[in-house]
Amino acid sequence: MEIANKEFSNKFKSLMKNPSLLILLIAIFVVLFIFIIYPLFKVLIISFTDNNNNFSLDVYKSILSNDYMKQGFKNSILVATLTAVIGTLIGYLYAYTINRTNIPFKKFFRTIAIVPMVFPPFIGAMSIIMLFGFNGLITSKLFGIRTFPVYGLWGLMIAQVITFFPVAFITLDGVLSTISPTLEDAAFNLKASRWQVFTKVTLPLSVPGIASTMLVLFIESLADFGNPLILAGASFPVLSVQAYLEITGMFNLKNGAALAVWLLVPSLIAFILQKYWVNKKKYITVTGKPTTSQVKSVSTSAKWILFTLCMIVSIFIVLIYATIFWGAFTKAWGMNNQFTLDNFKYVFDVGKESIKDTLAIALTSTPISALLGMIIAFLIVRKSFPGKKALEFISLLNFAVPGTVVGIGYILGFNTKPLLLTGTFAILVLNFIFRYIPVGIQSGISLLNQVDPAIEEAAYTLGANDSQVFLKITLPLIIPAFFSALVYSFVRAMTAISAAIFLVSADWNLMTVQILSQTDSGRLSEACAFSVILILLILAFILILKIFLKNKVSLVDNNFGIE
Amino acid sequence: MNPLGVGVNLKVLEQIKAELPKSWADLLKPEFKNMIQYPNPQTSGTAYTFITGLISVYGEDGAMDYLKKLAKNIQSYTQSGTGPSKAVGIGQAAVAIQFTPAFFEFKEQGYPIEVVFPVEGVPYESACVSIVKGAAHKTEANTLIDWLLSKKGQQVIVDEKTYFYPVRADVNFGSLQPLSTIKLISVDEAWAAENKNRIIERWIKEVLPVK
Repeated sequence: MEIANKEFSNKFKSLMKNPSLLILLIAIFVVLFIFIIYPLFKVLIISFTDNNNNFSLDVYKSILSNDYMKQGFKNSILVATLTAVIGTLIGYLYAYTINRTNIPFKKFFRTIAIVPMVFPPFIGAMSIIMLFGFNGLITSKLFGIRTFPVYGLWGLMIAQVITFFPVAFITLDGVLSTISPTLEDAAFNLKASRWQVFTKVTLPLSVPGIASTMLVLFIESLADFGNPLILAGASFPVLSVQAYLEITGMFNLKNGAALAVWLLVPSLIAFILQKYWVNKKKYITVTGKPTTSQVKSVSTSAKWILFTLCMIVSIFIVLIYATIFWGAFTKAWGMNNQFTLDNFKYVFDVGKESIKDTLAIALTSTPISALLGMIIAFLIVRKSFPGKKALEFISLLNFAVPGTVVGIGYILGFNTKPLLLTGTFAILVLNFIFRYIPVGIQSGISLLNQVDPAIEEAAYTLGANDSQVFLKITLPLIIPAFFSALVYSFVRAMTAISAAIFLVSADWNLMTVQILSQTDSGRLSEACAFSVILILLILAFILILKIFLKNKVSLVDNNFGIE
Repeated sequence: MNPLGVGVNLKVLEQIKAELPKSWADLLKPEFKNMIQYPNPQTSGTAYTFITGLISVYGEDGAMDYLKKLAKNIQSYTQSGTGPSKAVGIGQAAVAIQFTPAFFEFKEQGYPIEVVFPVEGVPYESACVSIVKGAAHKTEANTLIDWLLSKKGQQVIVDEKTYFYPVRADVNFGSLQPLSTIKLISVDEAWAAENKNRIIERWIKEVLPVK
């Protein structure tokens, strides 16, 4: 205890000697508190008070006595668990096939796996109905099945596995590509069979990655709003949609808030497990020794079975996007296939403002979010100060908080002076900044851990101050993390709906909300066209960044050459 | 003004070999098994309007009885009040019950959708416009509301294809089915509000479990 106290006071003293760092830390804590913690508190408080603002458990009592809402909780957990298990299984097999076999079309498979990153809300789910429903292209036209249960657990799970496939694939690809194949070679040399190598070497080494992927998918699935709004149905209610409809359909803010709290609990548990338990168990097998190895992990027949699996997943993803494009260029989705460009004309007439708004909001929030993420990552890895653990926890917290909860928190927290922000540009930008910093922070932290602090120490020795070191040394070194955070938060900001739907106004509207209202009012082809434009905008952004990044990289090289 | 109605997908109707329904009673026919969607009153105000409308026609027990029989034909109770129209539009369901603007929009878009107002009568909602107490621009707000209620304002609501019914009789209804041919039922609003929880409870206990 005394040692801990002493350590704390030492840290505190060294912080006092560095006033600019102190001010920065205070500022970061203040904004994190206002825009992450305070809205959550608001949700908690309103769910625990009665109409006269006294403490009360009435809301929870009424929810707990309501079987329909209890059913929603069970269903949310059920579908999240299934999505986590099945999504991880498919993601693992897919990543394993690409990393450990010599199948053709690897590049194609890699590209396709990333595509659902841009899964337009609602319309993605609608195209699942177009493929598997009563008149579904696959179920009824191909197999003559008219009764596939597209509503409820199965349809929803299929949609979620596809939606979150990139998350599963990217994580597991990272895990498998860092397991050195020389370990497997060693096992083969010791006369282990292929199955033994897989079950005794490869699989145990990937267990932490698998567990982490499952927890992430679990959290994402709980928070998902776009798919269940279309596919869940009343026989299979889920919490995120219930909370939204309590507020927008029944005008009961308290019930909505209480459901949001319920939704928050399992997410937080999964988040804490993922962060403090699984992450501690990660194995590092990158040794710097040569890792090229002959691919012999699977037999020829197993290889082609895995190849077929990858092909099925890819065709599936391609079909969903083809269905959306089909809707965008035809008169009436699925009913009148006459080619037309009218849908796009409509989108530009009616939706021009929302396209501009969406871009303005995403382009403002994204760089701020990525930069703030890098600063926080730098502070966490390189600086020592009291409250560091808290800073890390709070800044990553929003990853686990479902968007519905954040959205409700923001309308509750920022509707009175001095923080009267509802209906403004600022509330949407702030929401996106703080919702998507966790990715920047995490990739920043992992990259910084690989950079030797000696490089920065050298700069300090030469008399540089903190901000110079950060801007001239650290930031250029972690620029890949910065750009990946930039792309990620841009994609999320462009496709976000669950929190944003509470925050849009007549002045500031988003394309995703337009997609919802167009589907609601019966303009499905127009909603498809909106989705296509959304996809194209995101692709354009990534492309521009790529071109810019190439120049940037060569620029750095040139300077290096001259100096 | 906005009447509740039944949207029918004519292509699906052909596929399931059913005739165009004319009444609430027609929807009970076995051809419609698993082909009808309406929203869930636990999450949708539209659905509650539907149920109170039925109560005005059949009485409370009669309405529950009807809904229990209808339950055999239900494909999905949607969570949102506008969910059914999407399913009927793309041919996932044959029949959808909700407020009608989305049905008319689908029809306009070229979807094979027909809108039916059952002969027993349909409930309706009235879209409202209000001025916030202590509003900063009260005169302007007044002007807007006066215009909305004027003949010209109501004509714009028709001409701009909002598919809401005008509240004045002296405007040209355009392609909208004349209101005089639709049997409207009034719902006792005070009763409906007072009994809301009880009625929904009844629906959950008696109707929802029926397969």
